[in-house]
Amino acid sequence: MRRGSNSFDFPLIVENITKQYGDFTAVQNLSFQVEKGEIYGFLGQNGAGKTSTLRMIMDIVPQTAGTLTVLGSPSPRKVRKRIGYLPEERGLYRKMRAYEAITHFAQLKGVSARKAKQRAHALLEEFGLGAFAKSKIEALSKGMAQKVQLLSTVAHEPELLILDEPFSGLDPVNQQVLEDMILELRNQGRTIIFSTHVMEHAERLCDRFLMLRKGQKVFEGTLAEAQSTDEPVLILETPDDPLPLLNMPEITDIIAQDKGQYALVVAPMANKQEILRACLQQNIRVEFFGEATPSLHDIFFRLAGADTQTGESR
Amino acid sequence: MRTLFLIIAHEYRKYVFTRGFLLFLLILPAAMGLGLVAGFVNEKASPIRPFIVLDQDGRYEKAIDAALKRSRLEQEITAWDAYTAVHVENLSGNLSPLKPPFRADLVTRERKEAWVKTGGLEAANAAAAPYLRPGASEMPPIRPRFIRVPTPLNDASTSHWPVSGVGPLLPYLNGEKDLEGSEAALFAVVVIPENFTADTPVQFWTNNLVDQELMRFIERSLSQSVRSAAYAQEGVAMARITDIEALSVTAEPYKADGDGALVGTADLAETYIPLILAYALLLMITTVGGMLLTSTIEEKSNKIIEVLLSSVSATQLMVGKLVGLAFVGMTIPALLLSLGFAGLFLAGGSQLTDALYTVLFSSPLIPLFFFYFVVGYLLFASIYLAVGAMSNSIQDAQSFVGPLTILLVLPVPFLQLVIQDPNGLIAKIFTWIPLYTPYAVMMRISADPPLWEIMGATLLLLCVVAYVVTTMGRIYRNGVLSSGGAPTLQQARSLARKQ
Repeated sequence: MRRGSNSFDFPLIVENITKQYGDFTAVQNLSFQVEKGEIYGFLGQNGAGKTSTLRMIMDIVPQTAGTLTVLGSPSPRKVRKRIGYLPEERGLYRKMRAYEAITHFAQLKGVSARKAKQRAHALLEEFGLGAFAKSKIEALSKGMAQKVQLLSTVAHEPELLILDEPFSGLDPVNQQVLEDMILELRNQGRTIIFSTHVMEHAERLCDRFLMLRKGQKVFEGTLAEAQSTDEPVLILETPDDPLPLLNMPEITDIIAQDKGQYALVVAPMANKQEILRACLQQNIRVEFFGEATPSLHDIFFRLAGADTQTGESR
Repeated sequence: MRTLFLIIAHEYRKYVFTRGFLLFLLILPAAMGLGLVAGFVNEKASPIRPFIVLDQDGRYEKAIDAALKRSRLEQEITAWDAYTAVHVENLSGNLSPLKPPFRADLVTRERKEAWVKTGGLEAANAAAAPYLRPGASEMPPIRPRFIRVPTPLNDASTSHWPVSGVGPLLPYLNGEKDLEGSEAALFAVVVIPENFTADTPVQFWTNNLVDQELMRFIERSLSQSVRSAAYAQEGVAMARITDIEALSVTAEPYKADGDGALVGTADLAETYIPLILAYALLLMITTVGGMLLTSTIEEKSNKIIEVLLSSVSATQLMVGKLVGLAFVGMTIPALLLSLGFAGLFLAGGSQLTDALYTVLFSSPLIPLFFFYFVVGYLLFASIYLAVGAMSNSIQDAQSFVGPLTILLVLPVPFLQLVIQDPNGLIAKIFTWIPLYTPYAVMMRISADPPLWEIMGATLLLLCVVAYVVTTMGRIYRNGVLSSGGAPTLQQARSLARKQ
């Protein structure tokens, strides 16, 4: 834990939590903290422990061990009304009208009936659903219903938002709308935690990430920090055979890619100028030479997506 | 507390402020109205059964006519008593303003004779006229059920027994020919053979084998006639026979624990209303329990449950649902009782309304009804709630709900025994089985069961309810986020053990 961390700067502090279902350990000894006003990504394969962790934060399931401090309270139940939670398994009462659904959930979070209704109408207007305010949920498209669901999560103006797989089931247009919504909420000063399998969303939105694998933390930090943990890779484009370069001690591997492109896996402190010079000396024509930046997708596969050959079928 | 109230209000609104519920509320009085209309229609439109008697013996036609006359008189006096109970205003102290033979009473030989002597229905209507409720009209003459009609055949063919007599009448029985001057088709032909005795059967020709009322009437009339003939053969004078046959003994019911007065409408209301309420209790508890099950499964299958649990605890959700649906269940009887109260208040004054008012609103029956509704509902509904929490669809829940429903209706074949002997062994056994305590107590209440028995059984019921609600609450809390197929007993046991 960071030295001097407090509930004002860190709306969520998780210390050594473990969750067991019978003999199965879903989350093991997990610690992390979320800074105020940041978008914090929860990344991991299915079954990595993301939903269990989020449910423990919401006090929907109790942790087997460890402590949680949410918005300064050791009991998440006491601050429930200051948190907005969008679970992975979500739905609304089908017979309710859109504005009623938002009003109902805002009221459950402590907003007065009058104010909740006002906010419901204002939010629906703001997000382009004003015309559907009185439509029943069962009459809305899936995308519209998802939007209503998200609006009902934020209608009570929570300080901390926890979104479990918020993009699942949305088409690309609505995914973009949701991304914009999340950024807008962050700009309003809210702290947002969301879990996803879609690395592009995480890469675009998150300030920091937590990667989980089999219930354990494998990485926590920024994208740059994640990239720095990867082995450096240089990209060489040449019509010639680059294999003679393997004689250099700095180069540990050469992986052929598309159309005369090769990834040179190099030692951490390797001198790029020396490698370029060696190419020229060995008559390897250079059409492109540069450093490869690993994507979050690559990092995820390396850190959290272990056993990819066998994948999730295990 | 506010959150709990919101859940209760939500559950209540979800069911009560719907078109279906309002329709249901309208259907109930409409069904009751329809029942009254059906009774009225039945009375007004019950089929008239014209019949022909081929009395080849020659002694029994008149006997049947006399029996028809007697029966009609009894019918008229009974209908009059029912009419005065509703339309005639009582004096203070619930006394009838009418004098015998027009005052409601048992239909005895003396009363029948006095009825005819004083002028029958016409005189009765005149006597009741000053005491009729506003808007009530006088009682019209009753419609005869059976009418003996003369044979439409004038030739001698009817006098030959058997086929030659009935054969020409068959087209009338089969609807091929109509009886002249009769609105209804010929219903039956009764053939009384020559030298008829008690050992000789009478032929009853008809196409309607369902309605045997007329056949039974003919049997009774002829039996009486044959008996009279037997007396006469023994040398008893005909006048004496008539007197002897008119003798009848009447037993007048007195309630042993009553005030020594003859059993009246109030006593009957006191006996039957608790039975009706016990049936209503069973109906309400199963109906509202079913609503709770559907609501819980809906929240699970529509994936609302986790959203809800982020705002309220599982216990709050459970309590909110139980209380909300209990109010839904109480809304129907509360509304009907309010309407009944207003109706009885406005139409008060008659024996019947006064009796109903006393039984319903001046006794602990209604508070008891609501008390046992709440307790019985908690027992049944909390089990449904736990089953709903473990199921993802109604099909999943069937494996538990089916046996539970069977268990609940299991005592139905024994109900008659409880009604006949409210303080008997069967009644006592059901009283002490907590699942059946509410219904058994309601059914026995008018028979004044021992207080210690009712208190003891109710205390046991309360303890069982507390245990079941706690255990089912644990299953609900631990199982409401579960997924998978149909719930099993093992799963229920394991969820109940978790804290």
